[in-house]
Amino acid sequence: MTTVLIVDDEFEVGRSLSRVLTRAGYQVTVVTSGGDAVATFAQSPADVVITDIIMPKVHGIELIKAIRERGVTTRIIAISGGGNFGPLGYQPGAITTQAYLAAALKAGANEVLMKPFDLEDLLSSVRRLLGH
Amino acid sequence: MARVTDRLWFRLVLVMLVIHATLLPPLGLGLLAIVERSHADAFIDQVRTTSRTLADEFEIGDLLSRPDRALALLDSVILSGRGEYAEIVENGRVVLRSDLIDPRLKSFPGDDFEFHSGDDEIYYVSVPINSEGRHLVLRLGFGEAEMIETLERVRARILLALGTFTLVTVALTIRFATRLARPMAHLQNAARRIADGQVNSTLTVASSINEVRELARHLESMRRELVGANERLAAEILQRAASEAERRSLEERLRQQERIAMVGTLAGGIAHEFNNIMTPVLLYTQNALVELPPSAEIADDLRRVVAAAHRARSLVHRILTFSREIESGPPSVMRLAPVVDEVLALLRALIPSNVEIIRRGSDDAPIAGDSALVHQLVTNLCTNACQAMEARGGELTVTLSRQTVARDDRVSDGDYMVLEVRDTGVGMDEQTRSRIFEPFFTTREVGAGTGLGLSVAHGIASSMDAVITVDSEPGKGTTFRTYFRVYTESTAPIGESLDAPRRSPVEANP
Repeated sequence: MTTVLIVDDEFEVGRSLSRVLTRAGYQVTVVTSGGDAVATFAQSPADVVITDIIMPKVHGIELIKAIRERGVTTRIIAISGGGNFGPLGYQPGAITTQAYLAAALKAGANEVLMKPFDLEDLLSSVRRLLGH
Repeated sequence: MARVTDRLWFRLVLVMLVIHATLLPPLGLGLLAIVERSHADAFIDQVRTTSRTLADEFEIGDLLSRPDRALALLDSVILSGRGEYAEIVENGRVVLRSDLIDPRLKSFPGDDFEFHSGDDEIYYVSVPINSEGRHLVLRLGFGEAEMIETLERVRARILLALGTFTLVTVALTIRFATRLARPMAHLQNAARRIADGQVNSTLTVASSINEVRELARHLESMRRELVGANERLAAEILQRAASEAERRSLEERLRQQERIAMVGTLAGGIAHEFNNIMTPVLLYTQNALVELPPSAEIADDLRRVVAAAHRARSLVHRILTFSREIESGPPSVMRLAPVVDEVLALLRALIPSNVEIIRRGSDDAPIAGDSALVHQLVTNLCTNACQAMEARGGELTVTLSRQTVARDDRVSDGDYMVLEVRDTGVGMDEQTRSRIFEPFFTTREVGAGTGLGLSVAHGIASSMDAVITVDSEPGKGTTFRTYFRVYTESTAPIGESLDAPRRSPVEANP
């Protein structure tokens, strides 16, 4: 059975993803911090990891890098709620959602999804990554 | 107005009068004394000579022996008009006396030795006559009145001369004093003008008096100093006002920047939270919809929840657009024409009717870029052009053309799609032109524009490796040309070279 690890500091986000994926037949584990995710993944690497990017302490980019360092074939989807946390506008160095998602892709994520996404977008992403 | 007694000419006249009052009386008196003395001496000499001559005639002619002849001689003295008294005495007894003597005259009062002595106006003189041993004395009296009258006239003339002299002196003093005072009055007026603040007229006083010239020269150099100081002060005040205005404008820009940054940060933060909240709403609802039979009444409700959630997602996207964070995808191959047409269609509804939109050019080679960003860029350039024509109206001409650029100072060589946005508006000077891409720079009134439009356009162009050039002439209009590199297979990926990810659902549902 395909295993999915969901990481999001917002409990309801993780739970709603879990409900959709569980119903679609995946074996889902939900954690609410990057640290828990690293520990859980170390015990049993999941086939797919869906992670938020902006999280306290261990954030998504760090988690993606940690997973990629293990050299596993795990598929990773980065999700982000958007918003601008850096300087305004188009000046060089501005940190935008785009920048976060681009950074996630650079760190090794296979896909990115912007919250809030539709159920179909989530399922098709996972299926595509698993080659189904 | 100063009192007359304080005027220069008055003081000079006063000085002259004091000098006259001191010197003229002794001068006049001395002169009179000399004149009187000489007249008296002349009179006495003449009287004595006449008397002596008469006595001689008596002696030589032995007239005493012929009393009628002697009497006639005495009468002739009085008849001559000069004599008043004539008699001959012998030992104190009158022997012969002219009958013509004024009866009011008493006897001989004695010899006068001074002219005009005694209270009569007759000079009495007695001359001895030597005649055959008899002791005779000729007594004569001559009228002084004529001489006194002459003396009075002379005195009057002298006084008149002295008075005239004084008057002429006073008149000349006044004349010269006023002439002397004229340059002083000029100086005084000049000084008053300077005191009143009229410091710019040159101070020139023509005078032959060295002190006055010196004073005028000093006053003029003081005036120049004053004018210089005034100008320096005025320049300093202007400079201060300018720097104060600049400071205020900087402050204003900073405040606006902070305000927008705050709104942006706030919007960004809210968007993040909101999107996190909307994620479970959307997923739970769609999950529930899957489990429900499509015909169930509650399924319709849930579909409405999904639709509402989509609307909320779209609203957040718009807020993010407002806060200048446009969710753009990585660059993809796109064409300009549809974007430009869409922008112009939107603008037609918004711009005033006195602005005519003209669309030219049919070239439409592909470029690498994000259509949402390009949309924003075209919108900002066209909006700016329309604002430039707001007051007078005009033509907005948007032209798309494919151009090969070689040896251009502003654009590097290559094959470009050029978006030309030309307006016939107010145009701008070099100083404005050099600053238009600065964030928050605006020539519009405070609060009328954000001053972000062109800087955002510039930012978008830079992010796409495109170049915007500006040509403008005050009063004629402005032309913005944006050079987008034409996309070819060999063109290196622009921006971040990433595996093209899926477009976000947000942009799939504008």
